[in-house]
This record gives sequence, structure tokens and C-alpha cells, in this order.
Amino acid sequence: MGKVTLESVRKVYPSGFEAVSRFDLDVADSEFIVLVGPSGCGKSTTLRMIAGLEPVTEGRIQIAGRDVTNVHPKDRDVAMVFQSYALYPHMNARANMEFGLKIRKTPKDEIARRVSEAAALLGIVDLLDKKPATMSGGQRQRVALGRAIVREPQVFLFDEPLSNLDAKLRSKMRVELKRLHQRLRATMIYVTHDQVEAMTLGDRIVIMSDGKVEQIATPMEAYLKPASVFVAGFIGRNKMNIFPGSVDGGSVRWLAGEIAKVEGPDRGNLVIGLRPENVRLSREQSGSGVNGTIDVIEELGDELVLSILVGTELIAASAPASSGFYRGEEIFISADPAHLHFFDSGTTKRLEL
Amino acid sequence: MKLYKSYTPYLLILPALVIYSAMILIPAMATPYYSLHHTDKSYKKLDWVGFDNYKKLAPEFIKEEGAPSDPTFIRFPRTDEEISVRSFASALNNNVVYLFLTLLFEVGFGLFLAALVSRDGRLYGMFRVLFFAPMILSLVVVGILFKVMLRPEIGLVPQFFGLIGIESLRTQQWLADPNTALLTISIISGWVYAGFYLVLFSAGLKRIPKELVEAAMVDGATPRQVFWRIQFPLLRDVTSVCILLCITGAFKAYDLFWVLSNSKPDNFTHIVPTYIVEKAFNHGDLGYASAIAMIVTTIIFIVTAIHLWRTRKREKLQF
Repeated sequence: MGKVTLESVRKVYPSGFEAVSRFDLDVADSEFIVLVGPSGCGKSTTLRMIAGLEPVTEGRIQIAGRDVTNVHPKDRDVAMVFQSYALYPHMNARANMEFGLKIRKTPKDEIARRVSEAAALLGIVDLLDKKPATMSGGQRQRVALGRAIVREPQVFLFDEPLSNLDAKLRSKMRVELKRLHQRLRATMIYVTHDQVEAMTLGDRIVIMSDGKVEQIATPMEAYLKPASVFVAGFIGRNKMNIFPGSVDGGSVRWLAGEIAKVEGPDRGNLVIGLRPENVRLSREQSGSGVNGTIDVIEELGDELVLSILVGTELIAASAPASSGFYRGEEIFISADPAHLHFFDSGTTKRLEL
Repeated sequence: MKLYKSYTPYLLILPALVIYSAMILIPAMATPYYSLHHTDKSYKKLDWVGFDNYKKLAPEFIKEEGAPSDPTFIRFPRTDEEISVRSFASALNNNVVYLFLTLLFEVGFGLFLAALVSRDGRLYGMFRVLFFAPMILSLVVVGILFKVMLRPEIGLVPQFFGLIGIESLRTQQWLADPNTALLTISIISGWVYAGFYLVLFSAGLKRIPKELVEAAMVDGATPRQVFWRIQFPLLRDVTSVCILLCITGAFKAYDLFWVLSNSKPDNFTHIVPTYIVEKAFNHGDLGYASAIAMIVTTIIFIVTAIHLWRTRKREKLQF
């Protein structure tokens, strides 16, 4: 059904700028895939190539087993939700939703059935006779979703659909999207720059940077085993601490000290990462550990985020709100070796020691 | 010495004001006055005649007993007999026909070009130069140019038809044949003004967010459906300005008609402005010409007012 395959897809703009290089991806039927990365990483371009709005320079795209690389968007049987909603301003919500079906000459009663079903599902029955200009951002977003749903397409494409909403509404819509996916069991490809959206929505996420795929994995895999320094820094609510280091005689040297002990061969030229939530803090030295001073404390209610000055570097660490740390306190940092992430400093790829 | 005095701004606009007053403001204000008078050919004597000039126009629009057919607008061509008794009505009739033809050849063709350009941006530079260039030419020059090109048998256009073997079009009297004169002039004025409407429509199309077009494409619309169902309805404010400009333009046209008819428009190439000029300055009947001007101005004013009122009443489109 809604399988999507991208084979070595490449996009080079006439200016010579390579927006996407060799993108390979197999999206299973009814899978929710999130393309995530900073702006300009090629994620939107990739989505637009799947929609047919951007010609493919090299490679092939298949939707539901059909090669659509050179097929016009109208014949791809995909529906797209845009960041700006892109509702037709001269039509009311109902006409917006009906547009794609009327174009396809769907029977009238079928159109009416689908529109009223989608409207009920999204809670927008009251909006059907309103024009987009009179609706709020959240309402427009629902209508835009409705317009995609009534089409019953092979694949749903979302291009940063929640970016224009305020934070509260965004997290509400995120949950609704997730529910919608569970209910429709449709294939969805979703683009965002927000790693929280990626983590919470995706069955699998594709992390991109500079037109290249850094990692394709489930959210937990990307969190626990980031494939590169970029992914390590990008995924995670609190940014990972990433500094150069080495392994020397079973001792992990990081920030001018021994942070942990591991078993394995010696290695120089490493980049070592440790998530703030995995930093082990103690007031007294016991075994491995480097010494630092608490510079800033951010209180988030349930937890504290500490910025600890170690030499000249700042390390982020989280601690329970009840831990009683104070500014200027001397503290020892160490880590469980299982929580340390090792990367080759040359290729920036993950290493398993 | 202080150069700037409180009256300096007025001094600066004075030359323009004097010219504007002499050429436009005073004549315009004098028109209603003249329309109530009768002049002789020397224009020296002005006799008050009340509404006689207007009354003279009335029979043109009233069906006479036993008249051959219903003298309503937009019938083209008409019989010579009909034209001769209704010379103003036929000029007005020609003008309305001309208006619809220019809506087609100027506005319609401009919209068509803009639609092409919106699908392939590279065309814009080329089209703009190609179709906007005629706008810079004086209409008198354009008229002479086309008169030469259309001269039967030897002009560029008849020769072209000769080359492709259409003999009847080679000898066609494009500007002297009642069946083709108005059409020919309309096409020429389309050539002159389509570029102007192209630029207006292109600017309007560029204002429409790209995502709307893309959303329609993904929704399954063909390029033609995207244009007619999304872009064209969203252009309505631009379209309505264009139509207004075209209406006022058609009732102000003069140069092309005058040049292309060798300063002697026939019944079938007379439009209201040429008819007014002929009555006022060739026949010396300034009062009668002024009455016509008053009536036509009133008609255009009403049409424009209705159009503007309808435009203002609709809700604004937000993108």
C-alpha cells in the first residue's frame, strides 16, 4: 500500500548547490517517519521531491511500488500539509476540503461523507462554513489536516505543520497528530527542525545535516546510540556534553582527568560525549572523577540544570531538585562507562569500544 | 537670503497647474455650460438653447415607426441605412463593441501572457520587453506603422497572407471594410496595451503565495485547473482594476481611430471621442458635441461607480 522508497536520491540546484546527496530510505506501510535537522539540511527539499514539487536530479522515488520520479504531483496520490497551512483564501473550510475530491470527480455523496467524517474527527464541524481569514492558526491547521485526510492518500506529507503555532497548542496538536496516525494507520512523512517533535512522533527518525543522512533509527536508538557527533548533539532534550578525549590503559581521559574506566584497547583522537542526565555528581572523590565548580544553576521545578566549570569548559548536568547543590560548590564529575559515547574525531562517526 | 518661502511649494506646482487648467480643468468645467448652448461655425456666438442639444440626441435611441430592425447595441455589422439615421448611436455602438474587443485583446491577452509567465519565469524578461515596448511608442506612430503594414496587396500583412496562399486576405481592405475595421483596430490596440496588463497581472500573480499553487497541484489539479480555480479567483482585485482601466480607456480612445481612418472616420470606425471631435470642430457644433460628452461621461461615471462599489463591498482576501 503506502510504501515509499527513495533510492540514491540527489538534488542539485541550478546554482550548483547540492541540497540533498544520496538519500536512501525505505518507508514501510503505515509508518510514521520524521525527517529532522537544522534549517538548510535538505529535509524540506527531500519532502518536496517526494511530493513532486521539486524535480529529482538523480535517483528514483517509488510510492506504493510505482516509480513516480517523473510523475506530476497531481498523479502521485499524496496529500501535503504546509507550514503556512496554504488554505485557499477564497473558499470556506468545506470547499477547501472538497477541492481535491471534486478535481478527482469523486461522487457527491462520497465527498459529503468524507468531509463530515474528517470534520467530526478533527472537531471542526462548526468551522466548515467559515473562510480561512476568520479562523485562528490552530483552526486553520485543523482544516489543512482535514483537507489532507479526506483525500485518503497513499502517503501524508507534513512540512513543519506545527511551526506557526504557539508552544501550548503545538504540544496539543502533537498528541492529536500521534492519535490521528494510530487511528488512520497511514504512511506519514513529517519534516521538522524540532527534535522533540521528531522523538515523540516518529516510529523512525531520519536525522539530516548538510544534505546528508546522519542516521536513520528509532527515536530511542538515536538517543541511546547516536551514529555521529552531529546526532549526539542534536537529539536529546538537554544538549550532550561533547569534548575531545582518549582511552589510555583502560582509563577514559576527558576534560584533563579520568572520568571512567573501561576495558578495551588504547585509543587517541576521540570525541567523547556524555548526556547531562547521565553525569554522575558527587561531593567527594571516589574512584574516577574530575573536579569542577558549579557556575550557574537553572531551576526547572522538578530538576536542576547545573553548568559546571571544569578547567575552562562548561559541563551541563542535571540533578534532582532536592539535591541541594548551590552556586560556587566544588563538585566531582564521573560517568558510567555505558553512558559514554565515543566518536572518531576524524570521521565523527560512532565507535564501539 | 532665504530661498524657501511659505509660498514656494505653490510656486513650484504653478506651471503644471496652469497647463492642467488650460487644457483639462477649464474645458471640462465648461462642457456642461456649452452643452446648453448653440454655437455657429466661427464659435463667436453662443446662444442659449436649454436642453435642445440633448433632445436632438433622443431620436437616435427611440425606435421609429417602421424602422427595419431593433436598434439595440452590439450588433455588428449593421445596415448602411440604419447607421445614417443614427450616427451617434452607431458611434456609441462601435465604442461598446470596441470595448469588448479590447477587453479580449488587451486584458484577456495580457492575462494569458501572465499565466504563461507564471508557469515559466524565464519568459517574463522576454515578454516584458516584447510586449511592453509598444507602450512607449506614440499611438500616432503605431497607427502609421500599421497603416503601412496593412496596405492591401503590398503591406507586410497582406503579403504574408499571399505567401501562405490565402488570396482573399491578401486583397482584404482591413481598415476600410466595415466587417474588419473595428476588429483590426482592436487587435492593434491589443498589441499596444497587452504588455501593460501583462505587467499588472504578473505582479498580482507574484503576490499569491507559492504554497497555494503547490497545495492545489498536490490536491490533484492540472496547471489549467490551478490557474482557473486558484490563481484567477485570487486575482480578482487586479482583474477589476484592469477592467476599469480598459473601460475608461475604450471611451477615451482617439489617436488610433483618427490616424487609421486618415482623419475621416467612417460610420463604421467612428467611436464616441472621434464623433465628438468631428461634431465640435469639423461641423462647428460645440454645443451638440458637449451634450454627447456629458452623456457619455455620465454613463462611464455610473458604470465605474457601480463597479467600485461592488469591489469595496466584497470581503478582502488574505493570503
